[in-house]
Amino acid sequence: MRITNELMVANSLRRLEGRLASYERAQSRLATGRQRQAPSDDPGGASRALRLRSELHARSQEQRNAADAISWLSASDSVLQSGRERLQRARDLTVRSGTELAGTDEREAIAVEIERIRDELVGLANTRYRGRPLFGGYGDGDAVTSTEGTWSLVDSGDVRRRISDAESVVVNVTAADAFGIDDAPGSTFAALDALTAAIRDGDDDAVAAGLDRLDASLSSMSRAQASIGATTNQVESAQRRIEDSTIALRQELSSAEDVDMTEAVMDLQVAEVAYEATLGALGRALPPSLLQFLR
Amino acid sequence: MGDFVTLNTALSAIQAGQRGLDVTTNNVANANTVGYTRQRLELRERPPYDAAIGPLGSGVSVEEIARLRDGFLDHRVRSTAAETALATTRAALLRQAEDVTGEPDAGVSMELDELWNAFEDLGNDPENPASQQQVVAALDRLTGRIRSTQRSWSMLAHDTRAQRDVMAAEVNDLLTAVADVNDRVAGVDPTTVSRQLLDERDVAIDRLAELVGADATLQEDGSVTLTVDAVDGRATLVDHARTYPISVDGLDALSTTGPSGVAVDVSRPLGGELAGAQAFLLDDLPQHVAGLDDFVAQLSDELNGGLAGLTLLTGVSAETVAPSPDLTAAELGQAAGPDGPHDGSAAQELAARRGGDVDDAARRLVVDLAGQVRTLARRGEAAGELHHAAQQARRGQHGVSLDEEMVQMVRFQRSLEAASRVMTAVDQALEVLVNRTGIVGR
Repeated sequence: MRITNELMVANSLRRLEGRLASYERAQSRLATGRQRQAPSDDPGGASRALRLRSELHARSQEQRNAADAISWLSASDSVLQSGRERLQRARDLTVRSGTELAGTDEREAIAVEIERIRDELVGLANTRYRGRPLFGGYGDGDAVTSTEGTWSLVDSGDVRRRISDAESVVVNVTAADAFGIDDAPGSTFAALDALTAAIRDGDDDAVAAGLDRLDASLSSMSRAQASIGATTNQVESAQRRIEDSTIALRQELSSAEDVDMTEAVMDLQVAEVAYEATLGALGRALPPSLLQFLR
Repeated sequence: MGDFVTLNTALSAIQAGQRGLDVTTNNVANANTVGYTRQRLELRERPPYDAAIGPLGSGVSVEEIARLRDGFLDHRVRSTAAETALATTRAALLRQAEDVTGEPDAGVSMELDELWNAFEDLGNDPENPASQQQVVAALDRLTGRIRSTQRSWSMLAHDTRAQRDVMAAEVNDLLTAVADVNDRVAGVDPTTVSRQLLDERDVAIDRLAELVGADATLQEDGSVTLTVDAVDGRATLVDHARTYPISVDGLDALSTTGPSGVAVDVSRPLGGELAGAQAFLLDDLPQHVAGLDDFVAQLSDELNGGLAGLTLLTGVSAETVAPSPDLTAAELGQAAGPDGPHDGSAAQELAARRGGDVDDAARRLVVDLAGQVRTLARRGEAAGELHHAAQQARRGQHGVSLDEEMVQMVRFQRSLEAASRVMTAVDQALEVLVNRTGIVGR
């Protein structure tokens, strides 16, 4: 092929453009910190990166859910703890109310205190947490209500929090679970009512039966607390997993999307040197021609 | 006869030498002219005349000033130019379409992720006005993103159409230029035709190949017939001195009326910048808009009715999708769960649909477009390499080499000098003959 001046200049220009394009790409990568300036630079990588971002969104939601779950669980737990202490006090009082030990006046005083304990427990059962009844399930009204001496306890409405792709936990306790009595009809409040009546009447047999139901009530409450404890453990271990997963995802996303800074700086240097070398070569693109040798 | 013949022979040599220098000078002057084809003096021996001793050559005649053009190289340059222009124009337009989507940082994918989270927060706390409002805001942002992408694509199509119209006008102007030259050279003796006109015609045809993939055929009478191949057939653009310009009908239809009077649809040429723009307008962009519309349909299906039959989104296309105008925060709170004001189970269930078909569809939108841009860009690069090689081959053939011209210059100069010497010698011989012969004793 003949080599003409136009050809040599065209070749040099093309190489120069190529070098400049490489330089520009290296500079872009360094300036933005991103391997890809658009998904089309690497569609496969872009797809992976999108998935990772979605996963990170899901993890961050799970973290929020888990924190909220812990908050719910510990609120229920601390109320139940107070509840147990009050019930225990009621139990102690009941033991002291046997007819051999106490006279009518004393028994009246005990009955009054137990009634007060019952009212305190109602108050605890109707604790509000963030504007809603803590033991009230999905409803807005009080968890425990009384109509003409009959007690109604909310017994449904699981508050769930998702803590992983496959796990969701129940973070609340209903009034029926906390203040009901498992294997007998009625509730702690009904039991306390019956107890005060029995104490006033001086009916030792009824008081003994009432004590049994009080014990059953206490163990109901313990069971509820135990369940809260188990769920708390589950959530805490999920939290650790979520955190580990988040770190791993961030690393993966970074390696999919970000440049290695050192590498990027080096690439830029190399591109710069290559560009300068091409410029130098262009300077010699038109070598001495015959013109210089003819007079 | 005799010596005067020699004078004529020497004269022809001087004239050839002068012409040679002229041609060399012209080549040197035009070494940097775009589209210039190097010229060469073609010399031929003059027919001999019958001398007593036998046939005696009578010098040199200039046959023609040849234009060293290779039609095959031209054809290769033009076909590779058309392919490269098609791929790179399409890739550039699609890349612009990709840029406006804002993926992955601020596009539909991200807004969708945030929407799922907003639903989940609503499920966790349905009575809280803040979490209700968050869902409304997330729906607004997601649909807003979809609408703004569609709108940007619409504007991109509008701008592309304007560009396309300018290209079509340029094509038609160039067709006129080619037909003009055809008119002036048709039937004229090729040795007398202006080389400059021919060079200009070739430059115009090069540009036409780049614009619309035009194919040139040299006819016997020296005119060039231009045709263009499109998906729907072949159309003639220039035939001798007649042009058949391309007209834009309606929105994106291109047609030209051929010599037979029948209109030919050239909406999808097979090469060139115009072809790239048309492919984008007629095929690529509508495909992606349809994809976006399908996504809207899928999204609406998934979301509407997912919360106690509540209509969350209205609008059936990417252009019209929006949060339902009757949607209130309070309604969202109620619909979050069926069993009471604090039941968020329905919202939580809706949120659990994350990572499913809708997410896949959103991702596919991004990846399909990205893949298409990449394929076309690669194709453009490969075609560009071929085009460059073809151009270099052509430059090698048609271009001026200054060294070569210097050698030619020396050649002709020396032959000019030698011829002058001969003439002087003959002149001197004649002088003796004319002025000194027959002088006896003077």
